Amino acid sequence: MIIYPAMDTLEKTLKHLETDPAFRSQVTCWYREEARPGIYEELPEDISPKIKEVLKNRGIERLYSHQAAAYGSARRRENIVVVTPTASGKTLSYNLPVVQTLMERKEARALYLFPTKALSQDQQAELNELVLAGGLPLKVATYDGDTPKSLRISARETGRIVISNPDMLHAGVLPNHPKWIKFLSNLEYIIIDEVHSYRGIFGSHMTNLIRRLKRIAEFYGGDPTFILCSATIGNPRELAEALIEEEVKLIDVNGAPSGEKHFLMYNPPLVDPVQGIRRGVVLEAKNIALRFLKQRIKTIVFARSRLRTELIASYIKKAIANMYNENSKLRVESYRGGYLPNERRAIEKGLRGGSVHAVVSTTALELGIDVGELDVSILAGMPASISSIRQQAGRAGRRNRVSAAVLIASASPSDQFLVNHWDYFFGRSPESAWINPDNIYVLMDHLKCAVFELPFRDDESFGKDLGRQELIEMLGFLEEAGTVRHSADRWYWTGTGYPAEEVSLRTTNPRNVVIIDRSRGKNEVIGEMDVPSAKELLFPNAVYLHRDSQYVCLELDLQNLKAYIEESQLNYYTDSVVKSDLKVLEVDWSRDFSDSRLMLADVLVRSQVAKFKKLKFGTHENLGYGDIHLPEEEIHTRAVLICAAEGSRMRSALEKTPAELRERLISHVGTLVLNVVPVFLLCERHDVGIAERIRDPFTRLPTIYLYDKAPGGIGLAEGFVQKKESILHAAYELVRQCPCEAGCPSCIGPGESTPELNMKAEVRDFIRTAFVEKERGPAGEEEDEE
Amino acid sequence: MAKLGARLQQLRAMREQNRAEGRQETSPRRSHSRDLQPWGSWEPAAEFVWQTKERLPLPELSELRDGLLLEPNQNLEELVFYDFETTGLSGGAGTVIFLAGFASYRAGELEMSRYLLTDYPGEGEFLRRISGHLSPSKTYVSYNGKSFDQKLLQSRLIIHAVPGGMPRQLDLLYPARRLWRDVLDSCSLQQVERGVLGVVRSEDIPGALIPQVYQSFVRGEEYGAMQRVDRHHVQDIVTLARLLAFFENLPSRTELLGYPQELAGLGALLLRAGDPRGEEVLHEALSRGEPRAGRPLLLHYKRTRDYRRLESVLREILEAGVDYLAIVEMAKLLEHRQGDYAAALETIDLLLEGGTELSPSRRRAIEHRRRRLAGKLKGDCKTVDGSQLLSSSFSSCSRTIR
Repeated sequence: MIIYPAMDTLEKTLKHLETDPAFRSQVTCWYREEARPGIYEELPEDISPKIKEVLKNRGIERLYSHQAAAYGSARRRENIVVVTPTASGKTLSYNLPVVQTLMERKEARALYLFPTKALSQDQQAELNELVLAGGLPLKVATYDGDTPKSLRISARETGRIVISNPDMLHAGVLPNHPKWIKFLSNLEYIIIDEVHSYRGIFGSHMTNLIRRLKRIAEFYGGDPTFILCSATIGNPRELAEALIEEEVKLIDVNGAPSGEKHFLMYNPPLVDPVQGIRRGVVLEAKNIALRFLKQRIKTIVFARSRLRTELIASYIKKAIANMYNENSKLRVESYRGGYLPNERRAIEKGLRGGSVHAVVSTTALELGIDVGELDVSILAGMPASISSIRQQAGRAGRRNRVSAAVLIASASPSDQFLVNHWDYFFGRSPESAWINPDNIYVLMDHLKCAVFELPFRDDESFGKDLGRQELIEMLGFLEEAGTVRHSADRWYWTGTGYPAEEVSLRTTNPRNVVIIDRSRGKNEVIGEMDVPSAKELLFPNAVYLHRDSQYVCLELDLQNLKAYIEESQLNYYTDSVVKSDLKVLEVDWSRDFSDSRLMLADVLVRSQVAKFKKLKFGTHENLGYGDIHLPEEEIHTRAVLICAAEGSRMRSALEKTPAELRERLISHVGTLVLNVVPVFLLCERHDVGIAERIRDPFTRLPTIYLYDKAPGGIGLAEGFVQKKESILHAAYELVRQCPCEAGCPSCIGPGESTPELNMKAEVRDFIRTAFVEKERGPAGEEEDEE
Repeated sequence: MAKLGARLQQLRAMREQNRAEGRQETSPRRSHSRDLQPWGSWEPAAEFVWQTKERLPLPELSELRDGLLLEPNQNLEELVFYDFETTGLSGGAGTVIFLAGFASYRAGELEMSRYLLTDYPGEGEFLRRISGHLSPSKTYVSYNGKSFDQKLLQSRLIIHAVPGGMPRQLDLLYPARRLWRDVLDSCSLQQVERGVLGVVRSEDIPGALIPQVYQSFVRGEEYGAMQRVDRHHVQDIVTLARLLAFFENLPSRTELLGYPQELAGLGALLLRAGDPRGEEVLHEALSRGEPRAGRPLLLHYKRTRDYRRLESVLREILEAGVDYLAIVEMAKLLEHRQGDYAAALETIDLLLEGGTELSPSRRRAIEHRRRRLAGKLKGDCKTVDGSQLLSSSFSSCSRTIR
């Protein structure tokens, strides 16, 4: 066994922390995961000697059991989903069967889909290593929005492996499929990595996209096998099968070895015990990171926002600059969206190669970008979901060395809950992902695209569950709108446009602001940022932190999508305050039930960056406020309003609650509903928004709003109306059965618990009286749903 | 939004109901009944496909004098003029060709075969009829066919697994742009036809409306508008043939061209075809004040290494005004051919001092050239300070010596 010097160092440092009473007393849980040996298998016999040689040169003489299992299944043409942690050699699980098959069959092709462009580039580099190093005659081509026109034809014609993303497949490849005949008719494998990111509405789009892809591939005689990969989620196989609508074999026994792993839950010390104020996450993260970094231990810090990423990185840099001066070779980088692609590539490379010792990042590094092996992961504040916490904590992990994750709690109720209930984190399986491919809005959009791509036969199906009658009804609806025509036994596209152009797979705004440095007559682009983030970080007079420099924003030109900045030397940074607001435009349906009044409405959801705080570097004391004058971000969408109307049971239940508790109560009810709806509406938590108002200016009643976050709405509000009974019953069951004491993130959110008051019990009783218990009223008062 | 919501809601309710009742199969809806009657010389050729053959007199074609776009020994009967009308203008797999025409020259007349798809299910048959007109040896003459019609046909043939293609293309849009880009409002076929050939169409239908007209025709409405599309299509093909004749006769009838911009375009085309008459035409355009005529000449003399003529044409261009390419070429000529660094520097300064708008990359290039020249002038390869300057003057010295 090789002895690594860092092994001693990290263990020593951990020992040190353990025996440091000041540190130890803040750790609420110190959990050790035993080291696990690897499970190996011999290289499969049918792998060509050439590939064996490449593997040997990379030090691979046998496979981990999951790689071998994936190879066997994929070669037998079974669809598989591989679920193993980061750094377990997941990419080889698909690269090996694909490359071997492509070597055997000279015409065979494979399509790789990644959710982002950054990940495709990473994969291209990885494949090049495998293919080029061995001189294998396989052309690997990236085909995305950045591919120059001149390279597109050769990618289509001669690319044996084409790496792309869903958006490009949707708007570039499928609508022009005759150009891809060679590729599609020989398509043997489709690789979909980061499957866990295709959840909620995005996942629903993805399934429909795969339906279209399969339909066109079949037309040209292609019959692809799917290899999917996912991070740990609650239901990977279910999600994989929902996405490709075929049987999928689950491979989730990790054969890669892992070293001993420490999990530390750290609660920053109280500064003001009376008010419960604790030391801030930013400074604590810096201090803890430094303790590892000083020992040259490779560390990653995850911050909860772009601003905090820059702050933590700059504090760490300042600290080591004082200590080590010039001769210390420690390098610390920040990493987030908004940097230029080549800057990001350089940081990733520095991490892999070892020249970067610590990186402070947003969730941008949470996805599978290869940054090599790291020893310590520090979470400066807890991410919203268990799977995200696991992903970030899992970024540190070595195959044969000790690693550690330090989870630092912020003052937020959910962080405080987690840090004091570590069993909740370790005992809970990660969230499940839900999708609803037959969501009528999503489906209609893709049906249009499908008809455009190929006329639709009467006897054709689209997806697994959709009946012929339903399909024909939908096509009939499109015919009335004049976009398709039925003739003989088919439906033909008769619209003049290009439907894929009007359908976006993602709800986020694709427009980017270019950041231009104007210091000393320069005119240099230093980065790019999406419009909503630019409004929060690049408003006029904002202090903008970008890697090693500090700038002041001179102008944000939203018309031309440019932000002009200039270098500065200020002693404060700025943090903007976002105000959100929801306005009802038109109610088009309203019904009084015995429990509440429900309304469906078009609403306008606005968020505005209206003010900013100036905060002193280091101490974070507030130096004053400034105004921001920027247009609001707004989306028109659909909402359901649940109102405590006069005479409803919701109203009387509310009135039974002490007046001073009511506001908090309905806010907890909102959280509870939000925790339940994804399962029923088959979406993600972030696909819906919720707003609770004890005195709503529009209805003049206590009201809970549940709105669709996709512009225009995709039926989630209507879905709530249909499933109201089951959703509220499930909410009651959830709060009743949740093992927590007074509320936790999975039920009503962390709530107070004093001898006089238990918030969880209050919410439980409220839901029961308002929505669950049926009054034995006179007959005829029975509610009808439709 | 709410309206769509309501409609879809209803659909969904139906779905749920159907599901509950376990009803899955129903007969597909009937297609609309239509009874389309061919007009004019059209006659049904197969289900959903009509066909017509026409012969049109076209004397111009018989008197093609000079080669401009065609090879000198081009057999006129091997030319096929073609044009398609389509259901959409943006391309992609959902765009269909519904009207296709192919015309060839036979004994002084234009023999034209056209096919009309009267409803989508006939497309396979429609394409098989068309494929009879496709041959790898013929030259297919079109207007914007290279990037649109030809590509679209290729897609349609692939989808219906019908063999064929038209690899040899002569697209008149490109030469038309060379001549009339600055003279006409646009280089659409209709504009060129009106402005150059003097044809005025009555009751023509704007191209953008054609897809809509076709949709209503297929539904059995709007007969008349479709007949206008039909006439429009014939006219387009006739114009193609006449336009080719116009181009081919131009070199000896330059008097047909009134604007110097047209002469500049013609001259460039001639030089491209290797026709020495191009020089003369370009000189005439230049003398009539068209600066764009200078560039093809300049490139021509550079290519043929005729430095004497190159210099004179550069002087002519620069007399008319400041031009980036001409200045750079002049400076190169002065520096490398004549060793006159001072004059070269002066020329460069014309550009820098003239307040000309330059792109950053051009500005960098020209400033670099200036520094190099200034260094050469100052040191003249002897006095050198600083190692950087040393290597740069050495390399430029060796170049001058060579």
